[in-house]
Amino acid sequence: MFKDITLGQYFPGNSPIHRLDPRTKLLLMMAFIAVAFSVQNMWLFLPLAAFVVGVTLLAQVPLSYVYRSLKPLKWILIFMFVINLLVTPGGAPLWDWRIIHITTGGVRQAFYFALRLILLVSGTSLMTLTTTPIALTDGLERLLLPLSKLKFPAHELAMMMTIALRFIPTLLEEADKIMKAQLSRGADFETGSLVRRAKAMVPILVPLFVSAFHRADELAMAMESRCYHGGEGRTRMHVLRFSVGDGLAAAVMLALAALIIIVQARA
Amino acid sequence: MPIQIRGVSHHYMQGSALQHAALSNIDLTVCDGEFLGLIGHTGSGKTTLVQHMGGILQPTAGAILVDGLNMADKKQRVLGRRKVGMVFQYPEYQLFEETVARDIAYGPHNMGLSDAEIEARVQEAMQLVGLPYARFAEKSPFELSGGEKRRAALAGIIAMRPKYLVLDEPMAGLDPVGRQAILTTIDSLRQEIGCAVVMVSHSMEDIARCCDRIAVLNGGELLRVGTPAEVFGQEDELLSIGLDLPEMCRLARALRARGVEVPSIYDVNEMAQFLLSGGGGHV
Repeated sequence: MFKDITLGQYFPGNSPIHRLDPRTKLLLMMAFIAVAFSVQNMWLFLPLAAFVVGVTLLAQVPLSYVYRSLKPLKWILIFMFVINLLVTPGGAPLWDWRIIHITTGGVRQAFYFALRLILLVSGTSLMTLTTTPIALTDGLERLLLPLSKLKFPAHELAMMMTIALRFIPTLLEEADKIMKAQLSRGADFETGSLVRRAKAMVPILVPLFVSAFHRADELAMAMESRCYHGGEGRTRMHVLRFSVGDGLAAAVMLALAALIIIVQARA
Repeated sequence: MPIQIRGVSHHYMQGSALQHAALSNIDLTVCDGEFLGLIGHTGSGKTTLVQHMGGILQPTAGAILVDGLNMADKKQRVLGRRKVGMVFQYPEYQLFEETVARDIAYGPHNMGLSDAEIEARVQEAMQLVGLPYARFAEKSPFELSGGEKRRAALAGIIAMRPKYLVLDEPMAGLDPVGRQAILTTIDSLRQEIGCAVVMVSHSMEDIARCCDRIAVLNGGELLRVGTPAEVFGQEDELLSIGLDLPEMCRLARALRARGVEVPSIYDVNEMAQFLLSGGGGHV
């Protein structure tokens, strides 16, 4: 039942984008979002969209994959579009009917918001499509490392994320197994009121939690028996290094940001 | 009426690049009251097949009829599932209630039985699996030992009084005492309720000892169905698909290699009798 779910959406490949340092991708993705949200001119969304398409092509990821990641966004997009359309004041009135007032400002704001949201999601999913979850947590740990001077547990956080990611498929498989077992004992998950259905989940959740705690215990023991003691003094198997590609990627992003800033400053 | 499996195929992840056939075109009938063993190498489709019998998985092609009920139909499936008691691999993971008795009552409760009936069935089931009601009923299932948990889970299925009991490697991971307890339970269950049993097992000894018929799966296909004598008579075939032989068959093979004429015997007592009576012309 859960078997068909693919987790994380990594699209294996060896493109220049795949080979970028995860830190670069994280930072550039944040920069991209900042730029996307500072755009105040409809035309300037064009270079941003071109950037997304360009990166997708370069990464050799089918465009349909990026589109697929946008699909769950449909309702939020529609909802936000309508809300922005209705409540944004300013601009010339376009349509008045009872309590509904639509203005040019509202139309503009609604489109801006929708486009920004699309860019944000397609940008972030491009990152997760081209970076393995493990590389991503590695990069995150490295970026957060300076904060450990302020007692921020960067390594522990990254390790927790890694472990959580590792065990999601295991837990899904387990949930699937328990669900089948209870199903054959006459459990009914599909009919009845919401309360009834929630109650029907108990026979799945209890065994699932029991085994999850059990597993956590075993994992902790296995880690300790291999002398794991946190991040201090720990060396890495794959040391992250910036390369020429990372420099190039940063330059492209910088150029894009500069273009947006200059055009907007002139207007 | 039996469980009829007619031309059943099953593909996992249908329609995706990862699609693969777990079962192809299986025809098999589980007769009333028989003990059917299911053997095959890891990944040969045993688990997938037994999950079809219980209506947990639906075939991609073909049909399953349990006492004439079509498991593809939603309404008939609910009734069909009640006739088939499924004991999954490591069934102790399905325990969830606060007490053993309440956990065993979960299945009968879902069947909509009266409280008195449920109580009677719980007591009977616990008796059958060898967990004395007085000692275990009010215990938490999580306090039990591994073998006891397994038996409690088994009792949860038995309490539903299935006409067909389907066991997927019921002895995996148990010590010899635990294995024996499960086998004894299955035996007494067959005597008292007279249900048919389908058992998946890697232990050829257990299969040889208990089963009336054996079905051999290989790579999702049904290779052979027959009596233990017929199936274990095909020693080379079993070995070629990576299966073990029962101990006695191995002994017979070793003797034959040394020039002793031994027919294919898979039962210890029979073998002992044969050898002691001077069969095979050995010195």
